[in-house]
Amino acid sequence: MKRETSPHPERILDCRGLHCAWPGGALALEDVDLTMRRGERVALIGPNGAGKSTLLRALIGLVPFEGEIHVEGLALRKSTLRDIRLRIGLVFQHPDDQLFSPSIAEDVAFGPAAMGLSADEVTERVREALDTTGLGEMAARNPLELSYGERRRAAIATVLSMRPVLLAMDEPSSNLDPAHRRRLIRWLQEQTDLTLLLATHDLDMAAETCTRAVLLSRRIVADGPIRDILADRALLERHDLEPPLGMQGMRYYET
Amino acid sequence: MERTGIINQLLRRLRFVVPMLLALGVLVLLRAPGEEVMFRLAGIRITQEALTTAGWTTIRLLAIATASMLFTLLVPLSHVVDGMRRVRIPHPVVSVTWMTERFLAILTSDLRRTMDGVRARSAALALPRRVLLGTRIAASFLLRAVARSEYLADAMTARGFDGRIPILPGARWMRRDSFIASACLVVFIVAIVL
Repeated sequence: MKRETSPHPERILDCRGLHCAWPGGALALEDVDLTMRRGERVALIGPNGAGKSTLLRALIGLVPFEGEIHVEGLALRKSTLRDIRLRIGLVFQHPDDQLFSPSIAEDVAFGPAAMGLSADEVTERVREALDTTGLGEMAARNPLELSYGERRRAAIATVLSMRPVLLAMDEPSSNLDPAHRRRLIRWLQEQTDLTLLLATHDLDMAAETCTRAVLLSRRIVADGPIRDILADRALLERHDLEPPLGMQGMRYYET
Repeated sequence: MERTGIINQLLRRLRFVVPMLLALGVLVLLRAPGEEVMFRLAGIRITQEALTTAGWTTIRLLAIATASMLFTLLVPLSHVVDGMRRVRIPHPVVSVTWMTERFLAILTSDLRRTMDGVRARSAALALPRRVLLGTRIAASFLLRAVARSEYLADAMTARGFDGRIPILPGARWMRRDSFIASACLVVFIVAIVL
């Protein structure tokens, strides 16, 4: 019988024996065990199709799974789905999949308003999230009219306004220009209280923002300090990854 | 929104609708019954009555479409949600209305991007092949629309949506909204009754 509460309530996230399958039957995740403590910053790395996005979506019950997921000791069930979704803020891979309101301010306010917060509290959270992401002056703009980088920041703001206990980001640096990518890295570095789960191919970003790395290739193949995992070239190459450019030394193309 | 901005947006939206209304008008022109023949060409018979019916049908539908678009441009969706709540419209109806409006806006944006892609790739193609490409893209666009709806549902549920569209701060149905709604209603009634 599945447990209703986690035996380790101090853990923010506790996944046990997680299996996810595609509609055709192929396994997307196989026997994944993952735990995270409050304030931990974990980079979820792996090649394309490793199951990174699937794992993040499973955490808030967007894909069917077998196994157990506990968030702050609360088991993921149909009855707890809403509570869990308010605890985990998931930033989707494509901001266009995340933004749906006529203006950025309304999109950012949607989550806090759905939580039943007072108008003053919602307004305060919207202001704070927009300031944090540098979108204060664009609050009234239609998300569909923004640049990709701005939409990405707006998507992050929609999640920040809900003040989740765990921020899960799916490829947050994809399609960002270098300046916005750097700004995002700095912002993540500044949020020292954040519990962060970052699914990414951008290993340089992972190295700069996380302390622990989990290498996923349908199942977890390595889990440890990010320095050790990123230094293991053979391990990375076996899983179609490369050490971060910062560790490789730049090699220029020469004819 | 500035007046010129509204007019530009209205014209942009009408650009999608007007060709369909004109096509409908032509269909009515060819199919509507009538006695007084204006001219015949290659088996096609155009009558005075059909011309009048087609003209009025197109104008009525254009008036309704314009009034609807002006309403959605002038009254924020969040105000509409508040207004519907005030007159005790059931939550599922409010949610469906909200989602339909949002989904159409998102799909229109997708369609615009898809059409840009078609234009970028079809310039060198002859007309028949361009039409074929268009039908293929229409099919893939429909599939994309289904995927889009799933993503929209995921995004909403991920943010705690429980079947009720939340009321946002400052989103209140105002007297100005009532005036715009009344004006649009008058256009609707006139277009239908006349």
